Amino acid sequence: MKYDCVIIGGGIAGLTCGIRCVRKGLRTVIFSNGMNSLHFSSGSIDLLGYDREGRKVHSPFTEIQNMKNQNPRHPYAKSGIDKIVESVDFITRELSQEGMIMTSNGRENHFHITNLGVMKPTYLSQENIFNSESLNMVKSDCPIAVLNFSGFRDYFPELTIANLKKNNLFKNREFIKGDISLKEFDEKRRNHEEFRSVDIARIFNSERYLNKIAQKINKISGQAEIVTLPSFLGIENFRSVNRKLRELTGKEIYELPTLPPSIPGLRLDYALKNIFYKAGGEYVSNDRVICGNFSGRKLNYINTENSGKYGISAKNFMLATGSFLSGGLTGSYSRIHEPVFGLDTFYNQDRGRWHSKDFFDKNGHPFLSFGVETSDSFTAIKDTTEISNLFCAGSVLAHYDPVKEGSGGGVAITTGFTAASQMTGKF
Amino acid sequence: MDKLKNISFDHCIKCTICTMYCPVSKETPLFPGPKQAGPDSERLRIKSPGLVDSSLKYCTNCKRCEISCPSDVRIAEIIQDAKWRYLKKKFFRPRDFFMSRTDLAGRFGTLLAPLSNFFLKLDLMRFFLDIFLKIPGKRTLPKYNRTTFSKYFTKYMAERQKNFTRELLYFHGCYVNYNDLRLGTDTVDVLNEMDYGVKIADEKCCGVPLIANGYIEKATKNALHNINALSLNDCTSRIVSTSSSCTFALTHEYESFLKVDNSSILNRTSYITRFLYEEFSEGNIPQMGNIGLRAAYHSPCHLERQGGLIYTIGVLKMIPGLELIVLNSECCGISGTYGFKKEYYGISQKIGENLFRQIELAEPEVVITDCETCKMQIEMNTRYRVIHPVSIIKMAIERGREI
Repeated sequence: MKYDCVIIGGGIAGLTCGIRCVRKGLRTVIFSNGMNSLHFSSGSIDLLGYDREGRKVHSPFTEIQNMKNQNPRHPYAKSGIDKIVESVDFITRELSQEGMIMTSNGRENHFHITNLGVMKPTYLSQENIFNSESLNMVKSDCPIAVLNFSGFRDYFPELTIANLKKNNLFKNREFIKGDISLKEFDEKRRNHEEFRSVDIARIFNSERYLNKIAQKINKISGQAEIVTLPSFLGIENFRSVNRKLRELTGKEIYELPTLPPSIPGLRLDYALKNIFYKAGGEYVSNDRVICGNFSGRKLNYINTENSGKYGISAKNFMLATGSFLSGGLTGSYSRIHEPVFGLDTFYNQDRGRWHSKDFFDKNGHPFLSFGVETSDSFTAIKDTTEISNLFCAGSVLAHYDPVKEGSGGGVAITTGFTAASQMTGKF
Repeated sequence: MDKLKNISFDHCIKCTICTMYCPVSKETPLFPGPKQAGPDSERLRIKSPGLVDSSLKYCTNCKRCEISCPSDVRIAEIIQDAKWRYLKKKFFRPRDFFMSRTDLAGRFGTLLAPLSNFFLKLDLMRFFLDIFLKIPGKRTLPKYNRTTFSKYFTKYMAERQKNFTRELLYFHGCYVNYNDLRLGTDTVDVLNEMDYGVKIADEKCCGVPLIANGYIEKATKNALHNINALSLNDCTSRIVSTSSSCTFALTHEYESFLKVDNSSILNRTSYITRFLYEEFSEGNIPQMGNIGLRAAYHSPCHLERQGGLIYTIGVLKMIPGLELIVLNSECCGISGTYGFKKEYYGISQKIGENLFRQIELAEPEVVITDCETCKMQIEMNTRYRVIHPVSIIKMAIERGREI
């Protein structure tokens, strides 16, 4: 099989790269082994949420500008501000054409509100997600209704309210707590089994009970102009579900991201994949790439579990297999491996320093910034030789800590896009 | 301590992604989803078989859970295994017995062909099938050929196979043998066109319907028989199959589920489009003419499970004049014998609704798919004819000759 571009890994980095490549007319295939980690994510895209000292960042680009001196090996430092802006704008535009509007606060961060009622800095949020921008829409003194569905096991409005009250923005707000229950929903419940977000999302997605739900919402929420619900208001139909609920209730309806399975993450995944399919990309959803054939500074072809004796060859390859959770990196007792090609990795030789003893350490855990080494243009390095047609992107990369920095989505998009630009011959 | 057979359930990180993609739990609250029915309950079942939950039976074994799992848990296998280990059949069910023995039913069907097709269409007969055998009356049943493919091949096609330089084994499967003679002859013709002489082995049903209906011992027997038949006289030629589910059984389920050693056929066996793609890539492309056809392509679950989708699409893209609309991947709902059972018929139809709607929206001239039961389901629920990729190639070759 011969492609212009073979991408290993179907997450946000792989998809961004894939979309860019097919848009440029390259024959592109993505190999994915199981679903990506967008399904665990909040569905918002962070660029840079926290600085080196762990303080919340308001202007991510100012902070990234400093990065060039502080940590020149950081993926952001390698790609540069212009590329970051270009790639984030690219994906925002692509998503909006697919019907997924992302809210942002100009070139600044805004804050989205988690289901625990904590405000987290982020760069792009889905329009229906409750965030600091949504508050500007309504009177400052109206109460906020924090609602749940009876039977939903992964959410506790009491916690949200208690935490929000600690925040200055909400100190003087009145909160209304309530449960929506519907006869039809109760029938769907098995005795001991309770709902997960995806079960409820499917019921909303059908749009069958929206009238009844709207009535219940109005009854419970009283004077509140803002109503929040866990993020299960529809899957593919989320826009029309939200619009109809707003029309029927006359209130601002927002969602709070929940525990996995994450519906906003699923929507983002659907949108990106749809863009990729429609543009003509090929996506293999169940095949693991096991090895590659190298000669000199080039990767000639790869073999997958199902590819048989003929490998899959391409002009360019990209590795976006993710970090430890996705199996893009593995650890043995004394070293960190990249299992597909055995690329050179960065890690601390002293195993005692791989993690911090405090789980919530503000400085993060060192192992999170382990990963594959690359050149300044993100080409891979194997046995200290640069492989000129193999690029790396996303959380398989070393020298940044997505958890501590709040930079996972941004780095994935930027590096995926940058790698694509290189493949299409424009950097 | 007992050594556990399948410990992949231990790799489950409880992310619930599989349940998001399960077509059954999407449509019915009676099935709690693959995570709970599979890895979650497996620990309990190992401790105490009494804790088995009968909702397992709703699983169609479409394997979409395995496709979506990021941790390589063999969820569908765990469920299938538990289904038959714990929910033992309490009494003999003639329907399941006949349905799972596709070769036996096929032999009867073809033997009495014009008659059996006639009777199976009679309202009175359908009524009896519905009442006594619990085969839903609304369901279109497969038609039987007058002769089996293997007989036809031996009589009319075997002779000329010596004229070709290379040799290939064709595992035709029961559907081609008893119901779709045309696909069998098309396959032989296409392969001949590419200078491959075709041989067939003394094969039995691959075992997929047997596994689905709980006849594991019989499935294992068939597996052993097939492996032997396909490696007779130290045969080393490549094996192709035109059924995605048969291929999956030969290459995956024999080893991982039935625990049969299939190493002698494993590396030689591939689904037909992968073989064709490899040949096409090396320049062995038959002469094809412009077929000027607008077709929607539906990807069967079991083909996706083997990562075979790109090869089929790759081959189809090389056919001149074929306008291809690749439908979003969704289960058609029939899942082999599942959709032929009265108790699951409703669920099966509901699962497929999205796909049928997609097909109607695409407004194709024909639908292309790799799987025989997907074909039955789509033909029954839409107004379109469903064609196998190989038959499309055959059409293109014929078109090439006309000019």
